[in-house]
Amino acid sequence: MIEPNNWWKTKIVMFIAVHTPKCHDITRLISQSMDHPLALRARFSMRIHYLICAWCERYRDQLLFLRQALRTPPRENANQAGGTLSADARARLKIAMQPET
Amino acid sequence: MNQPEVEPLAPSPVRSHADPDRWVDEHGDCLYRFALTRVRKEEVAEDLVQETLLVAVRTHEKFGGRSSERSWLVGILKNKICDYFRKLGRETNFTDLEFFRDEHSDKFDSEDYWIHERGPSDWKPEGEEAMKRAEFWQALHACLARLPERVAQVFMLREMDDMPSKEVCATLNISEANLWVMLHRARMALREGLEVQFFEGQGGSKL
Repeated sequence: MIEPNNWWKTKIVMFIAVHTPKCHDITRLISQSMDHPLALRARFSMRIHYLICAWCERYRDQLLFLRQALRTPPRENANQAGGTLSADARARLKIAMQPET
Repeated sequence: MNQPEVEPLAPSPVRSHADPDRWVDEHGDCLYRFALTRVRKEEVAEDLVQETLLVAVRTHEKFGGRSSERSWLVGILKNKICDYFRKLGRETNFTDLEFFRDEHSDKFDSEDYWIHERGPSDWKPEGEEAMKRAEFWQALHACLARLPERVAQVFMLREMDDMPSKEVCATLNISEANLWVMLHRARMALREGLEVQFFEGQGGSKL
């Protein structure tokens, strides 16, 4: 939540704050919205909440970004993390693949 | 087991198509990395790659080149990973419980609003730019590695492999409510971890 600098803004922000779920609940809704469609009411209250809360909006953007990053195929980015097969493992695999005759 | 030093003179047509040696060379590392990220144990990852290739040898005749060889192999591997998760069953260990206890984190005030200085910061560098950096991926993998095992399984099936929620629930034998809690906590933990490890951000407000 933020400190608005004039009376009207304060009123509006307070009104929205009172009538939309708290940030902690919004974060839960954001996560759920990524897994199944939410009811219209929930979607609406999230939208309104973003008007007064940069943090929740940012939280949503960042979760969506993480999803995007995790779903990018490794070849298309600088993602070199993770191991490679050792020479031993490679040899073991090849032996295991020999046709049994 | 027979390991011929010399190639048979006239390999059968089937043999010439199923080429596990080449698969190991061309796709081995990729499959291994894929598995290792998800199962987090080197020997398990290696076993899964082996099982995948064995299935591939058996079924390559049915694979008519409809997709690339690699996505065909990755598809088989995905099934093997799900089988492995299924076999592990549903033990929730102590680390998992610790992880969930953290739910009401220190980022919210007593009224459940973000504490300004501790809320999500404005990430720099921005997304596209971050993804070009190797350090970003290292940080991401380090954060993934810190997720408790069960949570990590749920998270990766859903978030990396884009498996529908219902299917994740069926595969891991968990309720949908449980799934949401785990995903929520995993996303929150990953976001926080990356913010601390990689991004330099600053707070900011709207009005």
